[in-house]
Amino acid sequence: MNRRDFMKNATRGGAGFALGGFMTRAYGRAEAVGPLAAAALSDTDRVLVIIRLNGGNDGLNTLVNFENDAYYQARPKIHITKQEALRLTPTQGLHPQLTGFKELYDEGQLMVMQGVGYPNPNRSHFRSTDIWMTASDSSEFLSDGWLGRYFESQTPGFPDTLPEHPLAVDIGPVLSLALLGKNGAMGIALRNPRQFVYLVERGNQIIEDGKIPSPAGFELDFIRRINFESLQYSSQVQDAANKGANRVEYPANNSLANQLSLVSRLIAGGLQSKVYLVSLGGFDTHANQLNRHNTLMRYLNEAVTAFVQDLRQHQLQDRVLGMSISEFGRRTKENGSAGTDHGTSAPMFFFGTSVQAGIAGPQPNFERVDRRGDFHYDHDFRHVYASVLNQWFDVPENILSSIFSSNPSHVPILRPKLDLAQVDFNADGKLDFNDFLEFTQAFGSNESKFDLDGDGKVGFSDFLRFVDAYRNR
Amino acid sequence: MSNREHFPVAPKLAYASTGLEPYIPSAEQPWNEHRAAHLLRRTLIGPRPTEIAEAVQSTPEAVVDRLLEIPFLPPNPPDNWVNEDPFQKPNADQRKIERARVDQTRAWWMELIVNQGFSIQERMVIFWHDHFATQAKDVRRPQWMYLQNFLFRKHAVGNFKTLVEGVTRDPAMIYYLDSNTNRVGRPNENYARELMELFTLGEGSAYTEHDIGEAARALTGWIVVGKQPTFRENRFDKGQKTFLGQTGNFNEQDIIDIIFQQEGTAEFICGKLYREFVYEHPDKDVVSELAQIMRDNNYEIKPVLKALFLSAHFFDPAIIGAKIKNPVELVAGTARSLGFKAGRGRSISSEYLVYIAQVLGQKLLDPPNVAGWPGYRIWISTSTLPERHKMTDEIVDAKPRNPNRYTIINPDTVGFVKAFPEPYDAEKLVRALGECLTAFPVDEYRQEMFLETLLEGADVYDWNPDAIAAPRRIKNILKLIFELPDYQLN
Repeated sequence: MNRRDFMKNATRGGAGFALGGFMTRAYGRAEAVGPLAAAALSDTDRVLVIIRLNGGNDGLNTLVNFENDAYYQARPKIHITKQEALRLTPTQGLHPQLTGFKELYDEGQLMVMQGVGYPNPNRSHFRSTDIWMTASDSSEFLSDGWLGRYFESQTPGFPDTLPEHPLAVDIGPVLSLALLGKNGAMGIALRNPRQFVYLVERGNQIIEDGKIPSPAGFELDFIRRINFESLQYSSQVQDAANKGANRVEYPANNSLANQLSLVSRLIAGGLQSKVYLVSLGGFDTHANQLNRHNTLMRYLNEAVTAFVQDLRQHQLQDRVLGMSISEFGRRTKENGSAGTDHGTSAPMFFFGTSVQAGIAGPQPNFERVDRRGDFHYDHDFRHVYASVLNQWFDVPENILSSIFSSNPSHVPILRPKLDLAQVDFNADGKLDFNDFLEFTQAFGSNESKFDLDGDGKVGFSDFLRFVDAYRNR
Repeated sequence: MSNREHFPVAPKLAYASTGLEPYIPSAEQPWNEHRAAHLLRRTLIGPRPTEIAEAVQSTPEAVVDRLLEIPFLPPNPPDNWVNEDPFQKPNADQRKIERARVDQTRAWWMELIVNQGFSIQERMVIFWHDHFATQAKDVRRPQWMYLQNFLFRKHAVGNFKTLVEGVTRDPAMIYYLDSNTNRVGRPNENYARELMELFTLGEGSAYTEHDIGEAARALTGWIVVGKQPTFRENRFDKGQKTFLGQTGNFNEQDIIDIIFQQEGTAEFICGKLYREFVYEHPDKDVVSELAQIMRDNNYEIKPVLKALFLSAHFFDPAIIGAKIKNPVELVAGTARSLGFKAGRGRSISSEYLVYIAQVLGQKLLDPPNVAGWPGYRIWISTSTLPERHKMTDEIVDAKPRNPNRYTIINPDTVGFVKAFPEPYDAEKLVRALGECLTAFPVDEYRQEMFLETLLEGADVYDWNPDAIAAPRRIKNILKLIFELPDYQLN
């Protein structure tokens, strides 16, 4: 596949383009199908947003097992009570700060995957982060990342021919190891989101208004200007950021919210990157965990809630899959400083309109722990990664096995693809344009036959599911 | 394009308000890493953390005295061919050998720059090469280019007049500016003009076209025999010459003597020294004071530099970080500060560094013309800046762009950070790294960015440079610092 093919494939539903255009002309129902056509006519790339919770997030206090005595015995001081937890099931609930996550769950747009880890877990922040970024074995040292290998498999001409837009954007000072390929960086780091926003919104003056610069300031400003002009993709990024305005207010003093607001602007503004990385640090809660973790959960909740609202305002919610990762969970038993030490497996979050909503995987088993009292894992994170690539980006098996050293098995993350019969609306045994016409007539109604996602109305996400099925017919 | 065209008038800036009065360490202006590193960055090429730490322990004056010392012994020459006479009428094969030997001389020089000790010598040799610019492309004879480099080394911080005398009788220069064809009855003004315009008095100063013609006549008689500058009586114009208002049967020494009687000569060279060591747009009062010191000391360079390096002006915050690094400084300095040794069988190929400096616009031994490199902002463009970043990445990652030709051994990043006073304290380490490698104070914002890069979300107390995962993170922070706009400035 050459770059052109890749970019074409990246724009999912080539059908969507043509259908959208035809539809608005043929029926003049631009009003009803406006957002649909707009999305189809711009691009329907799928985007993966990875939220890194750096420092090792405490899984046990994120998804609370409030009916399990073993949990309260392990955490006499730093537990979430049954009353506090935001109940999802009769036995499990979310950290009380995660109110937006609870809403997503209720709307069928959140999945919590429990017990994600890997064999022979390493409890060093640095080493375990590298393992998560490279998708290596515990004893294996790789110098390229899982996303880097994925993008390399899609862009054989790289770096001689470059995609028109960055493949991935890491909102951070240095490009994550996850995005390093064998032949270099398979994405760009917006080194410094605050500086970036500053440059986009206020020009690139370091010289304060009215003040005469010193020689050092004068020269530094010159280099910064050239630097900005020469940053790869700076014009694409700047254009997208200028075009894409945030449509909701993001919370202030919340670094993750800052980063996600920029991601939303870039997606809304038409940047065609497939992966965005953002991060929130400070999860290494060795002491006085309750307050600190509470603050972090609030940051996470406020940031993701605003982000999801913003995506919805832009009609982008169907294009974005969110995923949280952390280098490890924390020790099951609390330590002597009302904190927790480094542990092993922990839950991951997935959010988006096409996730297989619910809680996946068995509840943590306090009986089945290692010598230090840490959980064994139920899902290998590499299988989770592979499943994301397979289900969200349609990466086939043979490529997955080249990205991950062992043959990954699959975990359901997205709802399974529709049967042909489900979208053969006129029941003539084939999926064709007539089925699409039937669908468009029902658009905006609540006819259950066309309500493919079962949310009670025939909407845009049903359209995407139809397009998906059409493509796979 | 010259800088004069780049900025017809000096830009309106908040220039340093201080002059040549001595810098006296105080509570507000302490002698610390920031200032010691500034002094070393401007005089050495790529100071190492250990050198900065030692300088802080010493006094500014003691450090400057040491910097102004030139190594007692000259370096080993690039090869035995330096003792041979150049080919008389080289055939194609010999031309090839000449080119290879010039390349060898470049690599030899780069090796000396990267492996320099604690002396200003290497920076001065580059400065003189730029000032008395001579192109190997035209000169061709590697022996002559080597001899010229040897001359610059010998007089690096010696006497400016002696150096000008040496250059006037330097084989490469005699050939490059046509002194060898300048003979009685058939004067060639090339050297006479540049001697005044570019080397001593400066363009537009108090000399006329007539003075140039008369000086050219006085400069006749010189040719090169083998490697020897040789005076041939029969080629010399024995007639009367009137030069800068004086009349006599002048020879080349008389011309130089008269030039050095002019006030403008010290002003001109001190202006260039100012631009090398302080800032592109000189402070005229400071330059005049420097020129006075130079004249008072019979054109000795050391007293001038000593006064400058110990002045309040030199340590004024307005000029710390105001100099754009030239490619050789950037390339050799990055390698040296990280502890690389250049040369065959050492940790980095000199040829690689020569090549990269060339890609960035500075090919040693081949300045663009007799005026030297235009430099300053010309070095930085949207094409050279990404190349600069690419180069620093290649060095840090030990991945040269052509691994079949060049060697870079993985740098000892852990050893590098351990040369700082407190390598186990992440906060102090990133601050010290910033102060060592850039001219700008590590403010709160940079501190946060550096820590985030080093720790990737872990807490500061988890930092351990001995951890197996540490080298990659050290490389990350090095690459980050090297790609900051700050790093392009000294």
